[in-house]
Amino acid sequence: MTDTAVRRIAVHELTRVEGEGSLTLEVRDGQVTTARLGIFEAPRYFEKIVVGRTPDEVIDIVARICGICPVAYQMSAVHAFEALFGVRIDPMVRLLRRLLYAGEWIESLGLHVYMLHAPDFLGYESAIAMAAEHREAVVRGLALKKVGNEILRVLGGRAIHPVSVRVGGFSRVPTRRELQALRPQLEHALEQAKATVRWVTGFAMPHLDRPMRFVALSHPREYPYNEGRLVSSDGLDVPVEHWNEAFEEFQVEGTNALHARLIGADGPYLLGPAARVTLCGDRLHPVARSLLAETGMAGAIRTNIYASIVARAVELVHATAEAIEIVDAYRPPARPAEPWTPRAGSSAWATEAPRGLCFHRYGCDEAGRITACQIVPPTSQNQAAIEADLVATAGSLLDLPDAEMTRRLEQMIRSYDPCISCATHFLDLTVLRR
Amino acid sequence: MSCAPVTVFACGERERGDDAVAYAIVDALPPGLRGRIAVVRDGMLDAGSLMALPEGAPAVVVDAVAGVAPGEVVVLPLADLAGLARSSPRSTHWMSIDATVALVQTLLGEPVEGTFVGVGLRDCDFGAPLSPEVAAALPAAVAAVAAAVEALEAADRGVAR
Repeated sequence: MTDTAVRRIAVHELTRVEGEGSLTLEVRDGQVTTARLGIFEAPRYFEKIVVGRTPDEVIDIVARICGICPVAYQMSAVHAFEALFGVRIDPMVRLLRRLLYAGEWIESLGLHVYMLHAPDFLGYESAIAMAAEHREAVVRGLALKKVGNEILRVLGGRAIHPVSVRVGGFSRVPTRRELQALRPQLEHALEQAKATVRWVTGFAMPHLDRPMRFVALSHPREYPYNEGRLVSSDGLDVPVEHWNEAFEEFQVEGTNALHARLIGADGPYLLGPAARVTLCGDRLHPVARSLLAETGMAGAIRTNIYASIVARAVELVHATAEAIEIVDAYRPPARPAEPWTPRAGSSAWATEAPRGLCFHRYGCDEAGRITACQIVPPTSQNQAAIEADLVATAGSLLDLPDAEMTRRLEQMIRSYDPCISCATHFLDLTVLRR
Repeated sequence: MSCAPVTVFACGERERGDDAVAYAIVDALPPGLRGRIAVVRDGMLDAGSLMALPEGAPAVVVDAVAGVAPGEVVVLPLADLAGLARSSPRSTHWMSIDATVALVQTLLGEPVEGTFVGVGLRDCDFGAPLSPEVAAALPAAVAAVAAAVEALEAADRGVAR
């Protein structure tokens, strides 16, 4: 029998992440053997709730999966339905959808950078504690989030859980004047976003040099929101509809969220800002691209997950700068939505949520009612990468007291911006009858 | 003394049963009082909206609350509510009201003047009406908000109470 020393680090409630989860790390003889990101937030069965519903009902239902990234769920769903029904949307509707997504990116990325992640780098336990000595920064973060929410309100009818997206377009489109009213706020937000990049670039970051496999949408001319092919840093390049042929979901004990893996490949993959900036950085808005170059952090973003905060800040600039251009280019379409006719079949789509690729697949009957649904949020896909990074790096933290080690591990988890609430919507329900 | 009207923030979601109680309360305030106040229907209390109030302007924040009996009306100074905020919130789809007030106090460097009025909820189901307990508590909740507004107005006028 070997004399082994076992140390168990348990973080029962992860703080400053979306939703409720835990972390368990097992150490044997000085080696980290297991890291398990436990997602104990209850499953919410959205994939079953939508069965029997109409496409437009589904678009509003799936928005409820998340209060931070409802647009991601709406966009993946509406594009899947439009692909199935052969709907061609007006170019201005396409622009409005990019603007709606930009609003979500601004509020979500701003929230994460300022309220959830920055306190780690500056040594505070919360944004409230940080506010006393970094008032200007926190006010900037609140203002950015508010601008993002305002875009959602104008386009979606509400700042949270918008309700205007419909198959073929929107239930209502804004007037040109309504969008122009956003411009002064967006101009101010662009300056705040630029300041954000410079602010986070100055943060002291723990050293990490672990090349990652990145996966993102890639569009030939645009930074990806709603369209593109599925690409990876090691050569994957397939149509977005082929997600199920390239990836698979699987259950892991101890978590209510499915994991996902790239079929035929070893090791996990990573979605989100670091992946997009790495794979699609040449299609960032010129202002964002120039700032990324100014930071000199593109290399670090590829190998150090802590540097993802810089990628998020760069995407804040991109989303804000593109939003201004869309506001300027906008002319109301002839009608808010194109007519469509349902048909039976199945269809799949993915779009880029703030945290990464959000994949949906739907089956419909002749009336367009949903017969089957699969939703794969980004956080579930990132779980394996989070756990692999924890196993690989926690060994160097073992000499630290438990409290400090916990803080450092939480900081690493927060670098992925996990949305645990999103990740618990797709648990396979298996009933064993004996 | 700010001379600004009291701002009443009605928080919650109109479609979700008892979570809509704040809207029912502000809709039921006496017309004379409603004419003197500013009402912000804010869904979730926004730190920016609270910070945008004129200096010294008081606020009443109204929302449904969990953790007390359905229909129970809870009245707290906002500064006391801020003291209940967890220093490290567990989850942040957005900030809770106590954390929002605490953040604004930290940013302003002074307590937020005002009152919180909460009503214990029973159900927040989509499309549901107010539960019988919460509906029965409406008169008391309306009276609590009216009393809070009048107390803040009186304090603002410098009337000793």
